[in-house]
Amino acid sequence: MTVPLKMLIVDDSNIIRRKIERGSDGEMFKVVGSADSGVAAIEKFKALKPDVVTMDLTMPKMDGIECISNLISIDPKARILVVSALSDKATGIEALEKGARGFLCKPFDEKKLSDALKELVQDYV
Amino acid sequence: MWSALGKYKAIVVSIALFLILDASVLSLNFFISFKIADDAVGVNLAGRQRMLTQRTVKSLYDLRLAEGDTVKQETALNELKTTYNLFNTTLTAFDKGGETKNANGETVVLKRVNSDAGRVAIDEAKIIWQPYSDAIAKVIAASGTAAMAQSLNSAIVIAGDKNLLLLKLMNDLTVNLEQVATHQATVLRYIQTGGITLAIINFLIILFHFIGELRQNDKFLEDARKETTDILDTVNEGLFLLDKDLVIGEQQSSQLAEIFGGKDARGLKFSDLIGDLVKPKDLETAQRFVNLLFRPDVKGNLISDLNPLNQVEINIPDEDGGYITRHLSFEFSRVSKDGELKNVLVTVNDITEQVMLARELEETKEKGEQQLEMLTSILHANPGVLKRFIQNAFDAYGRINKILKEQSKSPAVMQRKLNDIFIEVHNFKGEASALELDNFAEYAHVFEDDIQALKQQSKLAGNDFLKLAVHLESLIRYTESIKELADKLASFAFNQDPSSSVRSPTNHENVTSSDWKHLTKLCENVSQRDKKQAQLVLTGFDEAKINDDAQKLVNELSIQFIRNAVVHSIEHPEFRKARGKHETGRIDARLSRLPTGELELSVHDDGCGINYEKIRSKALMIGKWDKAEVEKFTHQQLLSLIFLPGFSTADNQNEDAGRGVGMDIIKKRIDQYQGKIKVSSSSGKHCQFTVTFPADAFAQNEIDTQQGKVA
Amino acid sequence: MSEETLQVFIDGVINYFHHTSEKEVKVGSPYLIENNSPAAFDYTGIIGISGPYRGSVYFTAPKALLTHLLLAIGEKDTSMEYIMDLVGEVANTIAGNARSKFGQDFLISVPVVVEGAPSNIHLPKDLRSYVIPVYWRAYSSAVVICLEA
Repeated sequence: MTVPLKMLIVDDSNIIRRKIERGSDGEMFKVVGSADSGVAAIEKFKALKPDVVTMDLTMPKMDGIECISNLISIDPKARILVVSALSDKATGIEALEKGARGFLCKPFDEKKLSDALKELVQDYV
Repeated sequence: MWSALGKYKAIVVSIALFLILDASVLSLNFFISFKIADDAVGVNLAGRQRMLTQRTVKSLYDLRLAEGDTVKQETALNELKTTYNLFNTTLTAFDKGGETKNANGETVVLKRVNSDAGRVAIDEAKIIWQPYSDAIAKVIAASGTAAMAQSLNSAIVIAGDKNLLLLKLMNDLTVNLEQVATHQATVLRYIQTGGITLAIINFLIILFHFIGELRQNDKFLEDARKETTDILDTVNEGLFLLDKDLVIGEQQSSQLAEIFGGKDARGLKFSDLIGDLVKPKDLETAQRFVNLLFRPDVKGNLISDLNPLNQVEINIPDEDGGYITRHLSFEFSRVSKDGELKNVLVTVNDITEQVMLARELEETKEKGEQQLEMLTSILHANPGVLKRFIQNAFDAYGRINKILKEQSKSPAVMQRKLNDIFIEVHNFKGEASALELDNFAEYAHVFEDDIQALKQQSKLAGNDFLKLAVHLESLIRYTESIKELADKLASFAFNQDPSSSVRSPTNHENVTSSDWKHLTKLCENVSQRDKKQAQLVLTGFDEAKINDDAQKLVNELSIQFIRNAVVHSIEHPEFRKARGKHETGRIDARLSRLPTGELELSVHDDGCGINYEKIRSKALMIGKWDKAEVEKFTHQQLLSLIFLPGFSTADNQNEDAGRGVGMDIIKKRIDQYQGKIKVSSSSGKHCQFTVTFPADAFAQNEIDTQQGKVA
Repeated sequence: MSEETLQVFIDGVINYFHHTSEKEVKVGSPYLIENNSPAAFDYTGIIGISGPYRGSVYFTAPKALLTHLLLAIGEKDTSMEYIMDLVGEVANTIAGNARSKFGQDFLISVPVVVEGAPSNIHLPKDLRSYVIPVYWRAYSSAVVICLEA
């Protein structure tokens, strides 16, 4: 893959956003934007048309679940990786039911993140 | 396409071969049949040549006979022409290959005769035929009777000369052609026989080879199936497949039934298998989770964190109405076929042992911490004393349980029960605080509080005692763990020595090793709490040879007397100073065996003595007696009041005083052993309690100490 | 184990009697017994408990009480079969009450009825049980609770 995939990071925590940015492989992905709320995420998604989105679930102004529903209605093929602390498995499952494709549990290390992202785009054409 | 045939390649090749073989036999058959048909024409025409030679001769003679009859001559000449042409054409056709007419006048094509014998016959016939043919041609061409006759004569001469030879040659040709035809038919028969033989061989090959192969394949399949079954029968995990409707497949490991208490899962819905065993919410989440696995866009490797059944506790009811608790781990993995998600393989592991082990570890750790705390709480106590305390505690618990067990609906009896329990608990608390076993003392204090609260209640019911039973149970539990710890400690040699280094360095320096050291400590503690100064002098305690039972009672009494002395008699230091006394009060406790064999315990203090007026005003406060009556009470009478239950003159309730039991217990215990109590007090100077027990008091009561164990 | 937990089981029994024609039922003063000598009357209905607490709770009563109780609920057949059923019914009520109070966290088994005392399967030997006497008319019965955390 010569052209890096565009990536959008959605998380209300600065630290996590930076961590994801650091952890995502530079050759494979290029972080094109980040959002700290569901509402902002939708705007950025429309504007940047990213290939990959990482999504937190608990956020102010529209939570992750609702945001995922919105993104999927904009682009049913959106590749969304939920990155969230596992407080309730049912919520995580709901996020996938809404259209996300994978779940990465916080806390994570860079290797785990990069493996998850690779897995997410493994069949990308 | 070819590769798609897979293991069927060989059988397809065989069948194709069979068809090709059949086709070639068939076409050869065709070819030879045609050839035989050609040969038949040849044979036929060769036979005709024989006939034509004779007819030619006959036509020549007919022509001679018809001389003068033009009509007949004409007919004969035509006959000759036809016969001659037909013979000539046919011979040429046999010689070089070409057309001729058959019996019906149709054109047929003959092939050049190639057989050796045929060739010889034809070549010879050609040589004979040449002059003969020329002569006949002259006959046909002759004009005029003379010319005719002349040419006819020469032709007849040649005919007469050569006819038989020509006939023979044509006969040879016929025979030869017949032989060739027969040979072809024979070849055809061979070919047909060969073809059929090959076909049969091919069929047999197919039959034996491929059926064998199929059989082998079947055997492989059967073996594979058996292997699968063997695997499923022996694996330690519960294995089964789920389809998209979450229905369990037909094959599963035998361990599965084991795990699920013998349930046959085949064809069940997943919810039927685990629905009764896990919480409804877990079941719902699990079903949703499995559904995610059937969605191709979801990354199977990226959702394992969401598996709600990765460690789940299930409780399987057993036949006895109880539960078997198992900890299971469910793993779900996708099974794809041709790129389509067909099933989810579920692996169930019984991780009960691991979980239990982890839990045990956790518990051990927790227990370790608790024990450490307990250890610190009992470390300062002399092991012998501690042992006695624990035994006393269990005795007390037994007595409390006995009181609880006693059933009555009468409020008075219930009140008495409360009182009796209170006395036991209070006494226990006293002993605990004397030994500085603070945990016990605190627990007993809470226990007491609850009893006090119940005492205030106007109407008591059996159910109200539940709280007390719970306290009792917790105390027993706590004491059991302390006992366990104490037993362990006792097994260490260094701890057998009461003056070992583990003791608190703040201990009184002068005190020698003694089982009664705690009394000194008690005195110090109570004084400190009451902001007083007092020194205890023990005499005769270590020397008196008394049994355990006596020792127990002496201990109880001493604790009570010493505490009373500090709380009620010894004055505050400033006060003592003002009275010209030493700031530190002195308490003398003496245990002695009298010459009569009686055992005497006396506790003397140099405090203010008994404050009779305080008792009198307290008696008034209680309101049990008339004021006039109380005013008239003698010292003797007032003194007897302090032995009544619930009577206390202390101003504040605390751990040491004011709860109003103490003296009444002492009275009860003394009575129990037929002891006598004597009180002497001089206001402002001193106070002394003396108790005397008969010589045989403790020997008799030895059996009683066995009672009291709970239940 | 807390007093409240115990109370739930006691209330279960009281509940049952409250549904009979003779509601008057009294709870005696609870005490402890060692499990190696379980207390029991003629018939005993046991329920198993699992969850935050594990163990068993049983209701045990003499035949006379049960016979009388059958009559009190309008049942004329006092054969052993009916008596066993009745003990199971009381145990069921205890279980039901516990279920509604403790919610999903507790698993409570279907009652098992035995003659005499429960076997040691139900009662861990090294533990104690609470005995709560229950008086109805002139009879005594008891709820016995043995739970460990």
